Amino acid sequence: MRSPTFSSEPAILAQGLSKQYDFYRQPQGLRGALRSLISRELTSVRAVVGLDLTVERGEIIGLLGPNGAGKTTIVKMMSGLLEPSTGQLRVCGYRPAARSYPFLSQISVIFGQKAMLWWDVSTRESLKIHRSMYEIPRDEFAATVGELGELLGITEILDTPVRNLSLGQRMRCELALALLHRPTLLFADEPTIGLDVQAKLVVRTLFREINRAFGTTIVLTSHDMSDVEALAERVVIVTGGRATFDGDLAGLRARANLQKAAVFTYHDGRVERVPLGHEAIGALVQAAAQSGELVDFRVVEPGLDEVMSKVFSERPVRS
Amino acid sequence: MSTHAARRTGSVFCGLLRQELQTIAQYRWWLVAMQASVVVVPLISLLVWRGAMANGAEPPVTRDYLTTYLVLVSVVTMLTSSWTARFLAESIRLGHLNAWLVRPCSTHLVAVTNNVSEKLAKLATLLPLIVVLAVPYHRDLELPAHPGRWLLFLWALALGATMMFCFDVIVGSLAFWWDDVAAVDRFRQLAAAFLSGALIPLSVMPTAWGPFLQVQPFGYAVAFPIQTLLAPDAATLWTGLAMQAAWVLLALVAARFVWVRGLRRYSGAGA
Repeated sequence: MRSPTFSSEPAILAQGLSKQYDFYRQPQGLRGALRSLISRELTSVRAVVGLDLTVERGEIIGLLGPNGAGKTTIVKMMSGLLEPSTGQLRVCGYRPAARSYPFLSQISVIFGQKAMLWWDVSTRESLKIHRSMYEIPRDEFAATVGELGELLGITEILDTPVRNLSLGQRMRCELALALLHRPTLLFADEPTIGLDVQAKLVVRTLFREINRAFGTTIVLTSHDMSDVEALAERVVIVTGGRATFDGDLAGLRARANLQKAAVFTYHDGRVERVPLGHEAIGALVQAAAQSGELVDFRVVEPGLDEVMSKVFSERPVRS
Repeated sequence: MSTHAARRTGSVFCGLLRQELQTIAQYRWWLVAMQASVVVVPLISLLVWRGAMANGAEPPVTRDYLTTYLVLVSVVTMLTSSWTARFLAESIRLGHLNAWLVRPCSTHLVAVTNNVSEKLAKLATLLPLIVVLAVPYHRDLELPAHPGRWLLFLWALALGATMMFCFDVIVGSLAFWWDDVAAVDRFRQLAAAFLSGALIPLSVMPTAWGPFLQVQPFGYAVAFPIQTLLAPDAATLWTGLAMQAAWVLLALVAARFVWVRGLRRYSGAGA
């Protein structure tokens, strides 16, 4: 298999990156619609504001944020779909908006909600088109398809028309298409959407494997916190178009400052959850034992979902 | 474009063409029905004109010219037509363009292969219908025997198809600015149908319209390619070839300009 070309330049280098969308406001009701025939109100929304971000080659980062935070706009700018309004952006050493062949042949984008596969033909036919597009030698193509087919469990369905695949099967085939050319940089937007638990595990293992073996940089946007927990060494939280946190998961937990909890399970089936403060554990257990026959006791960390929810709620006002 | 890039594009084109033909094969009955409808308009025109001439009408062209023109017009119209605008506008509006913009390949290549593959398939279904149409009128058909004239015809067809495809890209790209380009597309199709000679041969239109008909572009998509087969004089032929080349060049430049400017406004709706 081909391995990506390496350079000392970071995979992603963004300085003061901003994106502003201009659109006409849609007035309410019939009267508003008629009024808009004569005069329309132009509105601007700053989706991304002054983003500074450096992603080194070989990193896996989670780009996270609530809906409408601006993370998809950031990914779109980084993959060359959108031209930034202001600021500097270099991805794999290129200006993405120029959409040059050397740039586009190094990246791959997985849109969880949008298909890259051709709908009316089989996955194998789509893979063949990508073989020509990315100039993959025939023997390497055969080996990679075999390997990805086995890893993703799609060997049996490679010749089935895509429209006849289930959502989970289609997502796995989408992954095979995205990884065929061994991208240097992978943008994965909700890559496990629609997959069952086992398939999710396969995808995460595959991402870790290509990151380890080929040094592929992965930018992950996902609302599935188990994806983030399993893959991302670093998370960047985007709220209101700004990066409000950049660090590892331990740092994020510390930032959220959520308490651990003691969970007591009684013989009669009751489960009680007590937030942990500065009380001595022994005293808590003694107190719990007095209210029933205790059969289990655990100290639990707050879930990443709770942590995210807390951090997202610290939303800055969008300008 | 370097030789290497041209070879790569050619390889992708062949792959996409194979795929498009596979898809078309799944919708073969739609294709036959559509081509049958394509033949109906020139057939009606042919019957009307021949009926009118039998009753004493004197058009400015001969019966042989008119018969040959109307037998050929459905094939030429099909081969030079383009239907990309609506699909392009939809992919801009709904963000489906994203899937193409992140690939190292021209976004328009898939539309070109869709056009070429459908034309190949349509030709296979249309030609037998044309032969059936031509049989009763074969004595009035005037087709050249010289291969050079047929090569010239193919050249004019290719340029006509390129020009119409560029117009389609221009109209479709307006979706970068406007939510709905259907009205513009409908107007363009109407103008093309009337001014290209697809409905009525340009040579039977009022003489006073002559100067306008000669400079407008649509005539170079249908009427002019047929004209190359119908023994035009050398001056008319060379003027026509120069005018057609100029329109194609202008259309290519305009399509590229609108596309590049439009991409800067693209918002890639959805994920």
